[in-house]
Amino acid sequence: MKGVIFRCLEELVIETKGMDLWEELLEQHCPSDRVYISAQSYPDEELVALATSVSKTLNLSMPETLKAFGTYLFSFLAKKHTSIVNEFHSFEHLILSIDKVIHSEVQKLYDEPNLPVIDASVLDSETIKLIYNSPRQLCFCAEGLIYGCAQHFNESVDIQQTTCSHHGDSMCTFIIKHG
Amino acid sequence: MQNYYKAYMREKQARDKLEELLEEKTTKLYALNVELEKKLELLERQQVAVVQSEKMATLGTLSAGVAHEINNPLAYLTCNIDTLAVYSKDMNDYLSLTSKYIKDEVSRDEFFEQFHKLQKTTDIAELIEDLSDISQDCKEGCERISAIVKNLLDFAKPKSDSLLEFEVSDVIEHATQLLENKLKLLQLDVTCEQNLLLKGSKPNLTQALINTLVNAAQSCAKVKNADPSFRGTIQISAYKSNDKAIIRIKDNGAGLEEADINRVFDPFYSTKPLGEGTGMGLAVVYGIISNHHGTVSISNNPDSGVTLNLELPLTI
Ligand code: HEM
Ligand SMILES: Nc1ncnc2c1ncn2[C@@H]1O[C@H](COP(=O)(O)OP(=O)(O)OP(=O)(O)O)[C@@H](O)[C@H]1O
Ligand SMILES: [Mg+2]
Ligand SMILES: [Zn+2]
Repeated sequence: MKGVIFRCLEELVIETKGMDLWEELLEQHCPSDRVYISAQSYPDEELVALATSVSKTLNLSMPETLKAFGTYLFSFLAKKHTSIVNEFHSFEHLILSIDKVIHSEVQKLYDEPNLPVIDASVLDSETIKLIYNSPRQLCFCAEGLIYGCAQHFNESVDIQQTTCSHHGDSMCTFIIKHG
Repeated sequence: MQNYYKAYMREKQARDKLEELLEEKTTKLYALNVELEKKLELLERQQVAVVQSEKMATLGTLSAGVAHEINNPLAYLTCNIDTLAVYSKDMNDYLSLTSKYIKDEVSRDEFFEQFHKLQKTTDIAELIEDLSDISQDCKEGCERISAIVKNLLDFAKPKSDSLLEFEVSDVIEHATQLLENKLKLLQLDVTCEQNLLLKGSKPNLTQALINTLVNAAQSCAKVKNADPSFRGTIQISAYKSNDKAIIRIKDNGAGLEEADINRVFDPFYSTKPLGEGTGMGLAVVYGIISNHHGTVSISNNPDSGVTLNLELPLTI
């Protein structure tokens, strides 16, 4: 996973729980000389370990933690990559362009990123179907990102996950109602 | 504690700034790279065009030689056909006499008398022997012409439908046949291992070999001009080494100036008098060999002349 994701977690933890907790987490799960740089890749297990500890301190389940993190992550990415996100004028416009535009820009900026396959389609003027597929199985994080995206555009959303790879389906499906 | 937090925030800001810079550079590099890729594609397309036009140019120079090659068999074909016309009159005399005799229009004595008269001007045994010689000659002449035509057609075939597997020995044979006229004053030695299979464009590789052989022949001719007793020699050898085919074209001609060695593959580089060489010969060789994922190099021989060294990946 790219450092940019770790840097987001770092910011979230320090803003809400303070530097001491972050230092503790680093000490527990990372090599002693660890400094996160956005463009560099770090082991996925390190993120999982950090997130697991965070979920324990916050007294939240792992899915809830990832969802919350995803929500924060969207605003973090929007701040970091303003020129990419500013291309979009609406929630629907952005969601439909995740794969073809956003992550393909990411592909240009980052060296060999690990990106999911996301296929979004419009069901009707207020419903989008989004299919998420990734060996990293971070659908809860994706859900959070969608919430964060709605917040960014001042929209309210209701997200139903109708299939999930954690429950034996081949991929995860979200039905997103927005307006 | 407050101070530490400030220090941390400062460090964080530094990281942010640096990452911003990095992103800016990455974006620029990416755009530059896209542009370079476009240029590369354009260059590659132009290279194909150059190969094609060079082929047409070579075809031009070749056609003079080819015309000469076809004229030879054509001359003795014409001559033989004239002789055949004369013989056909003689045969006609024999045959009509025989036919008359069979139909009882002449008596046995008359038949023999006239037959002996004919024998005196045209001997029947000679006639039979000559006829078989003439038909054999005509057949050879026609075969020679059709071989030349076939080579020309093979050579002119467009690149796209000729990505096939073929033997190195075929390419060598093909190229030397096309150049027979130019090479005939030289001693040509070919040693080629069999079953050296390449994949790619046979016409283009033939072209590469032709360009090389033409250079070698020209270099030998240059020495011969100064010293008429000089005997020009070109040795072509092809063999397998690891999973590559090595093809060497060695001449005993004028050799290269050390300073030219690095430049001979440059497009339009020629040491010939203005208006004589295009200087595209070896540039095209380089292009073709690169397209086949091979390498080409040139060096002076220890004694005299030049060796051009081609290495091409074998299919298996
Ligand atoms: C609602 C919109 C988005 C969704 C649902 C989404 C989804 C995801 C998910 C789930 C991942 C984790 C990797 C995986 O699951 O295989 C990911 C990675 C990533 N995404 Fe997005 N994304 C969104 C928008 C964005 C935006 C706006 C950006 C930035 C311009 C972005 C940049 C990235 C980057 C840098 C990674 C990390 C790649 C790596 O670690 O190698 N994404 N995305
Ligand atoms: N076998 C050789 N011996 C000596 N010099 C050579 C030999 N082959 C090539 N050269 C040198 O390399 C130069 C470039 O060769 P190239 O085939 O590219 O162009 P050219 O022969 O000058 O022109 P063109 O092929 O259009 O007639 C030649 O002018 C000559 O000086
Ligand atoms: Mg030449
Ligand atoms: Zn899921």
